[in-house]
Amino acid sequence: MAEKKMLTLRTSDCEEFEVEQAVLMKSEIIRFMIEDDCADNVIPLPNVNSKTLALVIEYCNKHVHADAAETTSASSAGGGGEVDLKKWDAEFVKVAPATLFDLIMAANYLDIKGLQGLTCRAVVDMIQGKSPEEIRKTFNIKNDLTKEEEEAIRSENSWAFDPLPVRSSRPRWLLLALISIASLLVCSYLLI
Amino acid sequence: MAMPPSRSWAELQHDLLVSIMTRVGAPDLLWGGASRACSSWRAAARDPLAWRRVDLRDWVALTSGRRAARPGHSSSRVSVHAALVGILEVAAKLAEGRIEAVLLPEFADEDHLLFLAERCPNLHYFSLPSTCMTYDQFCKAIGGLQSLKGMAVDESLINYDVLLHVHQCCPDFVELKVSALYVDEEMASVICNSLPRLKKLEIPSCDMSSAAIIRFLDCLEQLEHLDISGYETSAISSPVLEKASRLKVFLWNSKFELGEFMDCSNCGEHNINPQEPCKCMMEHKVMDWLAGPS
Repeated sequence: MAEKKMLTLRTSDCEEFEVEQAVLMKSEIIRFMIEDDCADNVIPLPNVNSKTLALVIEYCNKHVHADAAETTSASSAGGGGEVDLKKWDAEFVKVAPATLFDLIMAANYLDIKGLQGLTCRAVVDMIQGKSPEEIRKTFNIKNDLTKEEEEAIRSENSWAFDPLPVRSSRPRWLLLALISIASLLVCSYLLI
Repeated sequence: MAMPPSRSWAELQHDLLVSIMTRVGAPDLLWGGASRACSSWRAAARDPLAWRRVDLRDWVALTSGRRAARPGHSSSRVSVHAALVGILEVAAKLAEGRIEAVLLPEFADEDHLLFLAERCPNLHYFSLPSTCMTYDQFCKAIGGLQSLKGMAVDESLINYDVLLHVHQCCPDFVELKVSALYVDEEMASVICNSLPRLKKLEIPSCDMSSAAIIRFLDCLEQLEHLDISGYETSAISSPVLEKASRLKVFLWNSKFELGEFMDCSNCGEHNINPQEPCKCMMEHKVMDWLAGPS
């Protein structure tokens, strides 16, 4: 087997990672550099720190080899591998919000489509159904909205509704009138 | 070298926040925490790109979110019909009239579709589960949606004239999803004759005759994706599998994806590979081949 070509990545904190070139193809940025033959022996990544890059490489490794395994076993059961990969992905993004932030930035900087989607969905899962206070606490966000802005948000959607469980609403007086008429009928019947 | 100071979530680039917001549901975009955490999150939640796809199917979540955001204003009431129009109005405004996909709740009717056709004429896809709709109004709405590529509707709308109207008004229409209890060859013929250029057809959780499946596979020459999963059907046979082999995606009895094993409808054995024929099916194929002319 031909020797696998390796590339070295240097992080913002000056650590170096030697990685299989095929694994780095997941990054569109690095793939373009490789295909244009302008990737030197060492590729500097000033926007990515070592902790984050280690995670990114782990993700790329997993997905590149999963793709290869899927190709090899295309004729046999393909469902199992895909399910396992989804579970692996779910575990991979169970990290602290600060780490998730770094992963989003790195995935965007390196243009790794799958990781971008995965990290965005992880954030969505953390914010769906939550109150503003909960989100600020989770993500360490300061509220820079003025009181006027907050009130504007509350009322900016012009309609006001609290839906009844029927398709059309009736005026309240009509309901009362119907009740009154019904009562009169009942009384009349009893008097007969 | 000192580490560069890590930026906070509030300072995430706008386009990254927007890509997150595009995946957040309408209740959170309108009244939830996502749109009120801070000014940059609010700006992202109001970006037109976040409103290209609007999912309003979960009406309970939508209305409870609304009440939670304004607890002191429950005295004012309007009908759910009018409330839905109001939300569509807001969504269309935020999207700057460029909503691409809308998933409507069960009670939505043709009036809501007409509203969308007027405000968002570039709509690509809608889901409208209503089981009672007037053909005239539906066709009128379709007439205003010339960019439509797909739709999800109830079987009550599977009618030759209605679907032919879709075919004539929407040159790019290639995707259909139908909610139906049973599909026979006649209904299959209606779909094939009126929408001959379908590429994707989804009729999940439906009892379907073998003749109907074969009709779809024979007549829809450009079909690439057929989803008839989710129901125990005995209609899968070797002729069906042969005809379906040309498809890119063919989903049938795929409850395995939900974690269940599937009994083969022919011999009753557990089949852990639902997208592949059971052993008895393979044996049946072998017998067919052996019996064939040599």
